[in-house]
Amino acid sequence: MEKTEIILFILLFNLILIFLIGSVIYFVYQYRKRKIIYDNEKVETSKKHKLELLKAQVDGQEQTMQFIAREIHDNVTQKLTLASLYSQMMDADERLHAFKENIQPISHILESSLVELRSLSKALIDNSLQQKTIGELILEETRIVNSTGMTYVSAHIEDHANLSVEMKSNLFRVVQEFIQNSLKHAQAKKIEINLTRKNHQLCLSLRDDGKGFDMNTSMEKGMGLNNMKRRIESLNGSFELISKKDEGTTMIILLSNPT
Amino acid sequence: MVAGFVYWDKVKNTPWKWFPVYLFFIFLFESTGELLIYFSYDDIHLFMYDYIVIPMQFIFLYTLFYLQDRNENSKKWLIFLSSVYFASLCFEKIFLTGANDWFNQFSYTIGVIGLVMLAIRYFDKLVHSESLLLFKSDMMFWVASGILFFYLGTLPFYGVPDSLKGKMPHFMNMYWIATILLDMTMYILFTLGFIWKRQK
Repeated sequence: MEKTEIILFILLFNLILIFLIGSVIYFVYQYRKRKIIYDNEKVETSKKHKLELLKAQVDGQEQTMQFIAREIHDNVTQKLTLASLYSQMMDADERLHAFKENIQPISHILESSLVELRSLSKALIDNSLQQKTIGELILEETRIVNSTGMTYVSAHIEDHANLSVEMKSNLFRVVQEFIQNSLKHAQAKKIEINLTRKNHQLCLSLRDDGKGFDMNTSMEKGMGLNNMKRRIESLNGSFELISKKDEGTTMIILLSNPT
Repeated sequence: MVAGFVYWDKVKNTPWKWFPVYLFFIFLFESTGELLIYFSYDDIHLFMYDYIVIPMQFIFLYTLFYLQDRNENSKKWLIFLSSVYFASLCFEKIFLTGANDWFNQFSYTIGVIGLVMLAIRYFDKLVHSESLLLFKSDMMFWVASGILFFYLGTLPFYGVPDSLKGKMPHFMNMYWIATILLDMTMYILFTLGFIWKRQK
């Protein structure tokens, strides 16, 4: 009986000792595991944050330049054109013949100023954004991406209407962001872009066959997606994103009566 | 206890305010217990520990775990473990008096098992949550660690019959020193909890 008691006692003692040591090891292991995940997430968030800041700066610059270009084109240039017309009229007026020598240089200065301002206005606005339709811009981007051989992008463009520069710029940036995400995060092999119009509604759908993401995890929602959403909202459009792990990502953008 | 009152500002608006009060009572009982032994009032000493100090310890510590999250599940655990402990205490006092059972402190063992279950439940929740990264400032982490080390570490010693203690005097003497060290460890961990606790 006593021998059994001693064995039981030693057994219990050892079990408790093993349990306590095991618990400490398990705790330290779990802590280190979580700490590594946390540190990685912190680095990733910081990277994303910096990238977004850079994007916001570039966006801001772009918008400011577009504003200045519009103001030059719509306001200053118009006034100068008017002034140039007046000077030309004065130049042609026989009654002011005595002042012809003075009027002509003014007219020349105005003309050359107008030429310089127009070229400045053009330089400030991305020419391709101004001249090409959204469909053409998408097709051009498709060609560039396909030439890298990293993925295959197919674009089906039904609508070739010319939209405002602001609308084209925002839509095009969304397309670029989507392609970038599909390549960088989803490692997609195929991307499909469709631009259609039905009943005065422009529909841009983007789809990839990448690894997708869990839409409930806050990290993966990311700032890039928020940025795209913000762009679409600024155009009074609606934005729908569907993604599941290993089932790719689809984005549908609807714009009512776009101009 | 001293650390608890020194850092009173950190705990005064939380359920932890009862913890230094509890430690103060433990201190009072322990001092009284020593005096009773010194003046050879062994019966009163035994009665005080069996019916007041040990049950109070268990019920308070069970309640402390409940106060951490105050949900229905924790409430059920509190009621269940308290009931089991009181039932085991009654059973011990009615049926096991004088018997030379393996666990001569049956109700104490049951009480400790309850505490260990609550501590494991707490640690399980902790390691699966984001709070794990902030464990240092979590008072419950230090308290649960102290409880786990002391109560579980000393269980074989307090549970073993006196007859067995006589058979292995050298080992039991060492274990006695180990229990004192574990006791000190528990109070050091409580103190660390008060020091590192983050004020909300």
